[in-house]
Amino acid sequence: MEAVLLDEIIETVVSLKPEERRKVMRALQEEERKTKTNGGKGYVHPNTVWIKEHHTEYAGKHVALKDGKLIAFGNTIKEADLKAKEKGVKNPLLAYLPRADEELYCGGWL
Amino acid sequence: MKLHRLEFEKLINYDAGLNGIPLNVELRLGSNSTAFEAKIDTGSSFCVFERARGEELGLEIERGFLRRISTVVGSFSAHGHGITIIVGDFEFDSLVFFAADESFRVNVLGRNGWLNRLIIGINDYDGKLYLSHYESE
Repeated sequence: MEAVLLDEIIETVVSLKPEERRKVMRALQEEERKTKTNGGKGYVHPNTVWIKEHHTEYAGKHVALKDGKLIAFGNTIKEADLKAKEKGVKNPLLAYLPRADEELYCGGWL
Repeated sequence: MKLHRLEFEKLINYDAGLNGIPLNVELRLGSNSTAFEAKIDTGSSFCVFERARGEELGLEIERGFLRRISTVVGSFSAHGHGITIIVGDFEFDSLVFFAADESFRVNVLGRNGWLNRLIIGINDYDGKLYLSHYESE
């Protein structure tokens, strides 16, 4: 995009009323949340975004995620997996979300 | 004596004389992928890979789920990302961690994200690794 056009856009946004600005901000934030192509640097998967935003709520649980949405959760990976299958979701990302005070280990191959 | 029996879909032969049990791993994210060798590590809470592997996938490493991971000699920072992990014919989406420090040379397949996604049998005497999906998968 040309710098002049970008400046015009910024100037326009700055001159908006507060409620209009909030609407623009919400639209931009929503766009940021959507899946991006990962042709270049800076990509992060929607499932990763969900984990960053919700890991404290589900700490110590196993979650099943699909396209950045929680499908199911449980105390074991099997529980989360079977619940996701009951909902008809195939091949979700299955992840354990450790508690904040839980020590994670990496074993002997360092 | 009661005998227990398991049947496996896949047998992978490895060199029992090597240090560790190395496997060919592919990580995938959209159209990007990277392939390398990683070792099975039952003592690792998660799969941990070197930073460069995540960057090859086009990830911005620091936007992941930050945690510190302990070792016998200290700890290091790593960022968790949701990606697809492929070993042999077994492919699934998991949360794995990439070391924050680019000089950190770590590539291990740990418990959460890999070991808990497969039924695994190890015959280290003969260098044979057996793998299967869970029946529910």
